[in-house]
Amino acid sequence: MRKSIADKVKDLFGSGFKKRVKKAESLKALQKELEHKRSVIHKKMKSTKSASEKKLLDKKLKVLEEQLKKIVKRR
Amino acid sequence: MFKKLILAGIVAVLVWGLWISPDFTEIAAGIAIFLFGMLSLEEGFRAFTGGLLEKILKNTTDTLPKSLLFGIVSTTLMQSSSLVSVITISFLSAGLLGLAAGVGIIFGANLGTTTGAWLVAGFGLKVKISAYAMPMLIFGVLFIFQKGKYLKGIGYVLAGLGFLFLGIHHMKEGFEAFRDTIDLTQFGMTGFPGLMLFAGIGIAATVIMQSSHATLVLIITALSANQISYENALALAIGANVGTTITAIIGSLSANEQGKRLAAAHLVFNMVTGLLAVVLIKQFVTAVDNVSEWVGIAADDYTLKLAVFHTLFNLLGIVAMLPFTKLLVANLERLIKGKAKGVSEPLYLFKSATDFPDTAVEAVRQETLHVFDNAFDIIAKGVSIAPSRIKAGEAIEQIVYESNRLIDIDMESEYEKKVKSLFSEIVLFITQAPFSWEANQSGRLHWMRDANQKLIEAIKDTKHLRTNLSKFISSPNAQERQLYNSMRIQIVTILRELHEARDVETNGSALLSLDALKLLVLDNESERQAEITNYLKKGKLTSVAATSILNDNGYTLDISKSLIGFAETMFVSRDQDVTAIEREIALIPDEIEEIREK
Repeated sequence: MRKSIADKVKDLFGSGFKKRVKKAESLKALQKELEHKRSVIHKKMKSTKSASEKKLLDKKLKVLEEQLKKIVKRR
Repeated sequence: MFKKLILAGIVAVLVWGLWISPDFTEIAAGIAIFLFGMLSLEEGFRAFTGGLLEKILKNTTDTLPKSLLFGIVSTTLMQSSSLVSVITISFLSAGLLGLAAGVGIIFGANLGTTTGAWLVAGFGLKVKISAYAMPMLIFGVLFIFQKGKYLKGIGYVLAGLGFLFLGIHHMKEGFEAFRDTIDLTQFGMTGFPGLMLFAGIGIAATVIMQSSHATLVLIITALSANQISYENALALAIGANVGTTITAIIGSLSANEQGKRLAAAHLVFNMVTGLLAVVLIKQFVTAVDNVSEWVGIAADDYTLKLAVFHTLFNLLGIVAMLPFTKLLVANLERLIKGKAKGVSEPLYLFKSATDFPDTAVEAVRQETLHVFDNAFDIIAKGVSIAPSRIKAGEAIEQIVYESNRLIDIDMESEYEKKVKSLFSEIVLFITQAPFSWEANQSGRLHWMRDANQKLIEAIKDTKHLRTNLSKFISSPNAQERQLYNSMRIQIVTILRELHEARDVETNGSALLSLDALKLLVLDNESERQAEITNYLKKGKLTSVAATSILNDNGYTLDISKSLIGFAETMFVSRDQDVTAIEREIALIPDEIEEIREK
């Protein structure tokens, strides 16, 4: 039990903690970037006439939704 | 031949000197020990190049003032402007640095190197320096024998410093003993002829020793023993500054045009600085006296005054040249042009890139992207689409429907010339590296080799697809044409997406956008299969045609997977932490299947 508390303290203030903070920041930045991408794709969807491009944009939106869900789970 | 003659001359002079004077022996041994110390110091710092240096260089050289500061600090720490020049040329050749940043570093290195004169004049001559050398040598050698890379590096740095100190000690002792036998100042010359003659001697000494640092230490120790006059010492220092460019010029011989431009910039800077110092020598002497008085240097402390002079004229050089950096860069780019290379020749695999593991890995990365550019053209033409139209951003259907005639291309010969030859050069470059790769670098190289192989697979599959495409591209059967056009649309879509993702630095999260392509490829493949079955049932396709189309549907899937696989390796951020996060968020095959089932 004592060891586990010591580990937790070490984890909180040690490099593990710093790594987690950095990872959280990176995830937040990535989430922002993907959300921006999503809004750009929505706009493109409305303007494009090409069927193949529409199809690709549709896949991009579906994939983005799943990726954003994964980010939210990890944050 | 000329080099051999010079070497024979130097050997003869040394043998004669060693024969007639034990004091000369001590000075020459001092120089030899000092130069060996420089080599050891450089070897030590090389241990720290590999990730860390690349990071520092990238983050601290994005503006001219920053690169100038990097040059000053790195040269002050490593006490070798030559090493900084070689690193800069290597990074420039590999495309990790821009020319303006490289020029800034070289300018800074010129100022940074003047700290050496301060250290020797202010510390080396004032204390019994050899006392510090012994423990450094002992611990240095002890660490050199250790297995750890960094401990070994520290060992070389310590031993290097120890040898430097020992060398300075012997030079100092030699000149002091020399004073009792012969007074070298009787050979001194005054006035302009003296200035030019001693500047010339300074250039020659630095070219021979390939280290302005060693020349300067020699000048300072001779000056401290009153074996040369202050006036002649100033001229020698000017010469040493010009002579030092030889190291960068030699280093640039195996570099690409960028490396050559940097060496030329170094030469221009040092020539201009030297010229300014010669023309304004009287003003400099007055300025040195004033500065020395202001900082409390005794009027007869000529060694420290030499250090002040060395710093002042290099500083003036920077002040004079900095406003013209852009002009200098533009002119160098205009005057030193790269050889027009054919697409089948490697563009980045230069010998200078193998100086450091990081630059070697970057060279392989850039060359692999070169292979991609060639493969892009071959695959595009293989499916009868002009590569320029894919890059131009026209609607894909329009491009494909309009390109209904087969483009003439010998795929096998194009592959041999533009892909296979480059891949062979990459493999050769990796195996010929003069150092052992670290696990991380080996991993990256392995993946890059794999990425090249994926491109080869994609080309080979395109070749198979092209066999039937040549029959069906203008088939009178609308369904056959439509199915082949659908395959071409898919390949063109992927090529365009990859072309856009190529510039990873400006297209963040390129890795994640590949998931959409994976989804598209799987959906398209299933849809085409269903269509083929449907057309077959309705009698719109013969069974022979259907079999061919099914095979080619498989080839299209393989081409797409290979291209996406290539991008997954190559189009990732250079920041490994960012890539790790993106890989974690990228969808696994099961998650893509889940989206398809929805």
